[in-house]
Amino acid sequence: MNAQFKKGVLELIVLESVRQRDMYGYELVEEVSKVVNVNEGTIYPLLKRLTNEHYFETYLRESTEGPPRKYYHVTAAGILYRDSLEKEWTELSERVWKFLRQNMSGEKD
Amino acid sequence: MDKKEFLSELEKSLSVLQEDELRDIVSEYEQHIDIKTEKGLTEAEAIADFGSLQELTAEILEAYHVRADYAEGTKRSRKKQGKNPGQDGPENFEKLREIGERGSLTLRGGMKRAGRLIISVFHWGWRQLRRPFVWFGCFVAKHNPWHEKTNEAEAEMLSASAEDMSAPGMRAEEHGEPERVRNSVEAIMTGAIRKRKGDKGMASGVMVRDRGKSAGEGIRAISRGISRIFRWGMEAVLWGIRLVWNGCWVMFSFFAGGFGLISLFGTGLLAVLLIEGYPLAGVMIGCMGLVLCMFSAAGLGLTLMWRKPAGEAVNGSGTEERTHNPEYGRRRIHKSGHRPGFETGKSFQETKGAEGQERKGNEQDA
Repeated sequence: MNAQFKKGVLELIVLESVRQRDMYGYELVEEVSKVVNVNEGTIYPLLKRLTNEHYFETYLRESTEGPPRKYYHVTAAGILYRDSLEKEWTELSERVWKFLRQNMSGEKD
Repeated sequence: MDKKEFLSELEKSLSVLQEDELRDIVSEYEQHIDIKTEKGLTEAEAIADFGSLQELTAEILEAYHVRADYAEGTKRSRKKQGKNPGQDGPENFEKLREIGERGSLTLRGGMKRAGRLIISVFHWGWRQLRRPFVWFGCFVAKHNPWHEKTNEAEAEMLSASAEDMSAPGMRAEEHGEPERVRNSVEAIMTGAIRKRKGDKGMASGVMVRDRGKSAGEGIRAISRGISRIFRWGMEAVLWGIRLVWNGCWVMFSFFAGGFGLISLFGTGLLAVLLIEGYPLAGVMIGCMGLVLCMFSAAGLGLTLMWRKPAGEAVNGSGTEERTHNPEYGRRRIHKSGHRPGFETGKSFQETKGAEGQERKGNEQDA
């Protein structure tokens, strides 16, 4: 997939994933990788940025498989931001889809 | 590249970040590599999934709104200067402290000088205002026709009494008596002269002279009265100015202190909101600054209050104090602890008499 497309939509995917349930870093990388093929290293800076902007908050939880893990939890501000991103994404995709369909129908005519 | 190497490289390239943030990021990547190795991948494979280290560093720095080339630039500049990271902080702090200390000393000195200047201006003004009245008093005293004659008579009487007083055991100089005591003795003698003059009041020439003298004294008394009234007036005006001045500063300090307390309360509220996650760090710092400003202003207001000079306060630890001794009939100043007879309330004659008797006893013994 185009890197610019991925970069634009990555925030929305991460926000939606964490909104469904709290996750730690590796778990989230796996979840996002199911949707878009993304470089693993890029998820952590994104998580850090969203935490710095108060869309996420973190807490430590003990793990049976090693040291305690840092879980991410979406805040109220994060949910609002996710909703606004979803709206923008829907509008953009609808317009792009409409534009593409018009062109395609014009070509057929 | 193994895990240790990768993490140390990452740490170096992110050295521009704060220590706790850096540790947080490194631990995230370390955990990620550990999970991957647990799932059967090698360290090198796990690290390769992160992509280029430079790109990764750039993305992490972007998340902190830091330019990716900043870390490199700072490294280079530090190498040029031959300094280690973290050295600048304490140096700058020391410099700032020095500047602050110097500034506060200068300010304090300036305030002292300004205070002295204001006081000297007040004193000068007071002297200038008094000058015409003093001159008038001197003029009246000088142009009194009987002034010179009375002075001659007083001088005669003074010399006669001084001979009496210079008898053994009565001389002030023998006991290291200060000048002020001699002045009081003169005052007693002047009283005696005035009494003696009253005995001669039957002669007609003397009556005329007395009338002239009383007229001169009347003028002098009037001038003295005017001077005193003027002095009282000036004191009242000064008292009023001081009242207004102090009142203004007390009000200012009261309002500044009150506003400081309100700001402190607001800072507390903002701190709670900040902990809750609201982005209010800047406002809180501003509010803390306001608290400091307000309390400093209140302190300044209290310092600028016009107080009485410390020298006017009465104390017993060797400082000058004013006493009124009825035996001498005039107000005099002495140093506490120099003359034991004065503390016990004994008169000069009693003290002198006791000392004379003691000396006589000693001479007889010898």
